[in-house]
Amino acid sequence: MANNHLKTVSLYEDAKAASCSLIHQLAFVFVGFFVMLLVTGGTPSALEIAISFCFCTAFVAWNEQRRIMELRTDFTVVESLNASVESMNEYTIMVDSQYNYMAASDQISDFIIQKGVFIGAGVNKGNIYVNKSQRNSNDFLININSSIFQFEKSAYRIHKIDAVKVVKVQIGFPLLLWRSRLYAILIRFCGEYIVLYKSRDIGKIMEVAHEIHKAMPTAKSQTYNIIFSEYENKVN
Amino acid sequence: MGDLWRSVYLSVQDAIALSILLELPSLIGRVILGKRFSGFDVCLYENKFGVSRYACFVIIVSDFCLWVILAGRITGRFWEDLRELKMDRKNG
Repeated sequence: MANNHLKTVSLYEDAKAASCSLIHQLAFVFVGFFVMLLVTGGTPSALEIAISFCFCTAFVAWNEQRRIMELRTDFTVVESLNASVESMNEYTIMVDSQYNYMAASDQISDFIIQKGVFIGAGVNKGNIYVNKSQRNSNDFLININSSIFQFEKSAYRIHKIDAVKVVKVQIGFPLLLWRSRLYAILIRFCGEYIVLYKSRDIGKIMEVAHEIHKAMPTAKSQTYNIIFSEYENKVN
Repeated sequence: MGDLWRSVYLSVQDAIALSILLELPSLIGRVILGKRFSGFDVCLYENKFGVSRYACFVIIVSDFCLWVILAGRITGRFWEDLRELKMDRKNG
């Protein structure tokens, strides 16, 4: 099976995106070299030139790799109102139990509630619940059995999870440098979207989403069916 | 058109775009200032308050940028292709 979550990009689209990013990278490298010249007072030694050459090449290669990966990956765009999910200053711990979290109720402090806007089909405007137990670390614990899905310290009843989505998190001004570099898994639990896991590694994100999707029960209503099929179109 | 041809096409496009953007300063330097600059050390022999000194820095940095960006972008493309190949193999 090939990577079916990759979308086919036309040559024209590819060429257009390539020339746009060229200017962006050119500006970065130009500024980088001028900073190097300022630091060395206009007389850089051979070693300094070699180091900046290697550093700039590595930066461009990394930037290009991420860009192509993003261009070819199929995901829905998520944008939160006040910059990123991470860069919010005030966190409000959810104390309202109106959604009846069942197995998660004793882990209620593991959620951060934020106001935000999701852009993308099938996702609503409203609150975003962030799973606090996972904070950008690359190692995490997943445990799935017949009725409980455990992610780090939080547990969810599997039959209450009715959708899973892979999305891109758009980050605001303070983290502009890392803009469009963060991906997240959203699960819909008791009708609310929870940001389960955030990472810059799209491969890992897709892997986790696959696992959750495999564990989920079959769709219970028409609405859920739509979201399932959206997900299936993207990943399977 | 296959993926390999696409990569070649995009690399050639990069090379053309970069030569237009970055070879222009050295062309201007050659035509207007009538000088050829080959390294950062040459720039310091120029008059401190003259245009040539700054033009020299810009020209040398442009030359560097051309190779840095070309090398970086080709490496980046190669890297991504390798990653996709690895993922394909992993998925069966």
